[in-house]
Amino acid sequence: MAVMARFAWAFGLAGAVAWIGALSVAYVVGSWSGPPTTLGVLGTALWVAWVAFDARSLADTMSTRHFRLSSGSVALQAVALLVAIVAYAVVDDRLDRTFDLTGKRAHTLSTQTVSVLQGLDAPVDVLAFFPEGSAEGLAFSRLITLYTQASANVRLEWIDPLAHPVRARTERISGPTVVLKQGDREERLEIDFTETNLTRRLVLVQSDTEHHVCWSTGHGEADPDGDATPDGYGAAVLVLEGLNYRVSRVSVAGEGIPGDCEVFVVARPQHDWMPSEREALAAFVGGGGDALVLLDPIAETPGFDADLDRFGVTVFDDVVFDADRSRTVAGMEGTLAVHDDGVLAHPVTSPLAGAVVLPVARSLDLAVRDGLLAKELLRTSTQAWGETDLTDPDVKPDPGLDRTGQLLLGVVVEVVDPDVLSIARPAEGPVDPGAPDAGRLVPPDWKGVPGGRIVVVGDGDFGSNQALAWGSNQDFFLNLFAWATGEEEQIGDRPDLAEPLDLSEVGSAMLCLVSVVFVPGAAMLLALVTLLRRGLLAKGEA
Amino acid sequence: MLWIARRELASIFSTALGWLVLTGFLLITGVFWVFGVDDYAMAVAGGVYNPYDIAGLNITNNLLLPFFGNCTVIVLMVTPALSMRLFSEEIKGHTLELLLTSPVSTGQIVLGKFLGAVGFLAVLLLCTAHIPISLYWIAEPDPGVLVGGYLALLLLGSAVLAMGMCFSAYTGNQVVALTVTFSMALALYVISFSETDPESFVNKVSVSTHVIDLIRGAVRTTDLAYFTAFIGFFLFATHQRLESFRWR
Repeated sequence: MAVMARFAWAFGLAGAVAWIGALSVAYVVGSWSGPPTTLGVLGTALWVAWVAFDARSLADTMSTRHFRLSSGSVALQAVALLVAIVAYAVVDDRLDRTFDLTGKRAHTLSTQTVSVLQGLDAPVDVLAFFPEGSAEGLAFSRLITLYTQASANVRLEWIDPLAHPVRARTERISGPTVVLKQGDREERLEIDFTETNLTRRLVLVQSDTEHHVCWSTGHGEADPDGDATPDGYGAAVLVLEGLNYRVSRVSVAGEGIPGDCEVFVVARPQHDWMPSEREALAAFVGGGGDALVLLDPIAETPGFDADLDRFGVTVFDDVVFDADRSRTVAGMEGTLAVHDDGVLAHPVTSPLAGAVVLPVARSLDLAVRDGLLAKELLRTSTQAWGETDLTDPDVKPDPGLDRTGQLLLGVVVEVVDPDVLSIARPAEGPVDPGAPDAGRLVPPDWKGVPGGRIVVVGDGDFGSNQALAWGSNQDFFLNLFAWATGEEEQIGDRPDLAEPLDLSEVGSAMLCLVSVVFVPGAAMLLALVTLLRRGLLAKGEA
Repeated sequence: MLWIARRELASIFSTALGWLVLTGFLLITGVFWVFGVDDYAMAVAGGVYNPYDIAGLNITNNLLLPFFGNCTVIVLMVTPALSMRLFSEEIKGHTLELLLTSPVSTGQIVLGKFLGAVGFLAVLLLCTAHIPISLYWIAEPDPGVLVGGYLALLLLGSAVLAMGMCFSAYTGNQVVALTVTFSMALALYVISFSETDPESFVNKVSVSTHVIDLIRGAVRTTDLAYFTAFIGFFLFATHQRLESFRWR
């Protein structure tokens, strides 16, 4: 026993080592289950053994006055530390609130977000997959803290995909991602971790609403699944699908336009439409549906183009050029940058921060008709012209041939009175297979419903894979769908432009002088005066 | 207590160290401010050619945040130099016994010295008033961010002063007090640099996590609780340390 008492300190030391190991492993693994717990129990057991084997010596030490006073102080300090930690933890857990001092309420959630959070009737699990120390993760952590403060139904789990690769694989994570889960529903956010996007996902994860977009095929239209070619629309459709739009291909010639389509897209048709197909499109819009028509200047679609006249839209067979340098993309002749007064006020266009870039556009015109409500969306500068002779290498306006001046590039028409569209009905009785039946694709029970809208843009490439990221093309494309489906809250916000400094060269020099010379210099001068005075005083006393 | 605080503040200004710290602090913050304004002005000027490249560039995020971020590091370096002498000098000069036998309680001594040091820190920050004034001259900053930034610097400085005062009560060597305080403060500042999870232990412990929201103009009760608990604990620990001198 005496030998054990002599070496009892070794148990104490081993106990401390075991506890350090337990804490280290728990910190690295991020959990107390398994080895950390075992090491902790072992450490405690070793300390108990130390006390048991060296009880007499410890009792002697503890009975000294110094130990009683100092250990009391240490114990008090430990209690104070514990109180500080508990107080902090209580505030952190129960009373965490943010007071926003900024004038622009930069740290306050928008009323829309607050109302969405208050409407959460079941917990939403937010899985944030960010590598340790990533800037995106840090910014997101500040944002999500506001959400967790506002609603107890937002449950946050932070996962480092590099430290937990299996979990990342299970959740199909390939980069910084936020996964929102409620029951079986799931939404993902992989770019732009902003409040607007996060709240949008929060709405979607609770919502069963899915918008059906029908994409016309059969006339050489742009491929909605084409993500490998520059002219495909795969990227745009992928973004749409991420916003709860279901995009399906529709062959109008075969099945007409399904009644559950909310938006019908005709993107860059290359071949003409049959009369029956054109009637089906008119019937869809006349029946209250929304259509988006993106036209290509080079396409051979005279019948389709002419048929848009029933909506008051005239499509010209030309390619638009703009002599105003600020309205074209440098080095890309014929590629138009539509901005400033070229973008006309409309819910779709007003929030756009940048230019809508149209790679190759044709001009349009609008006729005022009873029963139709037409509005211009995009137009050129006053120095534009519609080039009709593309064989001439010298691209310039040809008087008498080309349209000149401010040309229309995008319009929206709302059908107030469907009867003005003069839609053909399916033939009644036995049909002669050889005779044309323009109304064969119009539903037999078709009834005109006011409010249908058609958007016509004289360019079919602005939403393609190649051009989607140019200027504000993506916002323009998405805004069209959000507006058509009544999801106004999804219409993109205009970001803040740069805040300027009113700083002249003289002002800059003054700022430098004041900050680096005058103020520190004054402090230095005061220091010298004080020290000199002290020195003189000391001399005087001596 | 206030008398001790006043005496402490006066003693800082009566030494070369106080004036050197003030001059150095103003010079470094001034240089950072001029560089920051220059960088921001250059970025805005570059936007003339492509305004959409600098969309979202703003004074809060691109000028004030980096500036106050730099200032936190300067405060981290300056405050240990202020706290190192608070008790180390008394211990080394054997004047602590005199102080302890004076008709003031230990608590008053601790609080008085702490308030004196915080007072000097406040003077330091007050002397940078030309920065917000010049900013209002050339732009329209968000006053909330300025208030938050200065509050962050004051709380961070006060926390480091409380910790440094505690360490200075344990040693008669000012260099040791300075080194230990700066090392601890730096460790608490950088510990969360590679951590993103807001709920992680290191983010709860780190001092930088608790100033960043303040600098952005957001006052969180959690941050206030952190600094209150931090300062409170070290003041209490200093009190206990001084009490131990009475029964030794």
